[in-house]
Amino acid sequence: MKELNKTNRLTIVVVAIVLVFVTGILTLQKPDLKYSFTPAQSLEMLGDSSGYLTSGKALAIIAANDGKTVLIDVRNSIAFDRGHVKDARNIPVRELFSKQSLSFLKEVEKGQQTILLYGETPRQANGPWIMLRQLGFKNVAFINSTFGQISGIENDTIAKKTSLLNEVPLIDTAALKKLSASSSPSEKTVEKPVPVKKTVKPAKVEPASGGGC
Amino acid sequence: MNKRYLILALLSVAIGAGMLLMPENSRVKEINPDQLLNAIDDPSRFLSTDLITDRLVKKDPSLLLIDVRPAAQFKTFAIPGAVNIPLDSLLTESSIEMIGKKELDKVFCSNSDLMSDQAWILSKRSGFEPIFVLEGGVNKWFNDIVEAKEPAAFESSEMLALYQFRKAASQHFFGSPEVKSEVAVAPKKTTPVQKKPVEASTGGGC
Amino acid sequence: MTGPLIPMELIPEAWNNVIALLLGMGFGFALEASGFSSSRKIMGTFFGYDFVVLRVFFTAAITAMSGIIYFDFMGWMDASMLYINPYYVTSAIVGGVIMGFGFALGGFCPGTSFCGVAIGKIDAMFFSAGLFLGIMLFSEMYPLFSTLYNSENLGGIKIYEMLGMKRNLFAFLLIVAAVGMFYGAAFVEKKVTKVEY
Repeated sequence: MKELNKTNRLTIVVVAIVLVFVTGILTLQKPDLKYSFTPAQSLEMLGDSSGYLTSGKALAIIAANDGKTVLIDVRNSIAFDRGHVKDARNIPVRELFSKQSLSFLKEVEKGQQTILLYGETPRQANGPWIMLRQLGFKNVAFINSTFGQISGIENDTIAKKTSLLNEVPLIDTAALKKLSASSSPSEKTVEKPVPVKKTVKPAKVEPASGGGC
Repeated sequence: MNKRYLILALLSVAIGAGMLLMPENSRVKEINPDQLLNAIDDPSRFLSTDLITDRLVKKDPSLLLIDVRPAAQFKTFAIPGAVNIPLDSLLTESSIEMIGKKELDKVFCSNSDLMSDQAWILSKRSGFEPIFVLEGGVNKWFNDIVEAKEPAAFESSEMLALYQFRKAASQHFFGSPEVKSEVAVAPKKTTPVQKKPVEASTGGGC
Repeated sequence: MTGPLIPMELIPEAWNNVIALLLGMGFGFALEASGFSSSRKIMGTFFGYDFVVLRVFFTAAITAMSGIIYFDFMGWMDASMLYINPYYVTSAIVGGVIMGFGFALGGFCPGTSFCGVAIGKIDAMFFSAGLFLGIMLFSEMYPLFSTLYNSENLGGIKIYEMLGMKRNLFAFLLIVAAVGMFYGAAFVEKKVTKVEY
């Protein structure tokens, strides 16, 4: 039979394929960082109000300076150099998971101290806060106010728009009534979004310009 | 039978048996913490109120505006076209069906953009795409669109055009304030989370 | 065709044709190496004296399948990004019958006929010419066929999803079935009188 002479080639190919599989499995990388919570648990954790600090409370803690909290500034280093809260340590968002900052944060956690995050806006500190909580850090909180409010900078343009920063509904109900009176009810029914197949346009992404922050 | 063939047969069965030991991967893959952190640091997820309004006015079918505020607040006022998924029910099965729709641009909104950003982070972690956040949230939308402020005379024509767009959008949603109808104030209609059967995604490779 | 690497932008779009050419050369090499340029060898499947077609295609299928599953597991590729041809029931049946008829009549399938052309077989050249003629006729008469062609689209469905099975379990069963089929084919080959070609 002819094919039997060709089985040598076959063997080489099979060995090559198996080698690929074996190297793949051997080099299979386990991620260094792991979530300690499932998404559902993290969602529950978001409701934990001890993670949010109002500016008043934060100012009191900063003033007390009793060594129980470690302030972390998550803004970039340029903004940090221009001015920061006293005794704060700078860990920009992107460097939060570098080995250096992680070991520092773990030490803080071991020493029973609370990690207190702040950013230019609450939104900036929010992300790192969720990430640290999801990684299993328990004593983490973030300051739910702008950098301007806690550092006492005057002329803070962002803080003037606090209405845009906190989760408080600020709808002018009087204006709303006027509006709803003049519109026909049919206009208010929400239309079901029709799923489009294959024709999804790439989302236009606008650089964050102006606006609240 | 030749020995080679026997070995080959055993090998392929062994490879097949190896597959049985593998964990069956779920529908969507969770992204690891490093990737998530990088995504958090990227501000491109924030879409401006004007952009969203434009898409709402044009009735863009690929846009799904998800309001993550509690149902009571949603009832009082909501952006027309938004669907309510309160943050604490973000990961229930019926909401995942909506957020999991690959062909829709899901935009989260809340009063500001803090809660919506939290919803975004958790959805991003669970691997849902494409998702965005409405910058400034409902408050800013109300400020910008419904209560659009006329620019001063010295401001650029671009600002004036923007103002006219906002005014027109507001009238599109709520009607013109000048025309007063005699209809009594009707309670606002709200849409509960629409439950739809799971559709097998038939979209082609992308 | 060129896998999920291009949509993931790991390889620029411009490489598409180069990769396709290399893959095509590999495919042609494998066909020729298995002796598929001989129409007698291919016809062996129908008459039961040579099951090499069955062996080669099932080996290719289970190799590719295990490759996809393992690579997906190892994170080298994303199986969910693979494009799956939509399944049109009627046109698949009608097309299958026509294709099988031509296959049995001519002794080539489209790919192997080009292998035959490459090594200078005259019957393969006629077969390929007929192939292009058929393509041209079909394209010209497409409006006549379009309703049949586009009817009963089931989308990109997968067998294991229809059966409600787990993917990896189905893959394992397929491999076992393929190995069983190889032995069955060898058994039949022994029974049937050898044909010299």
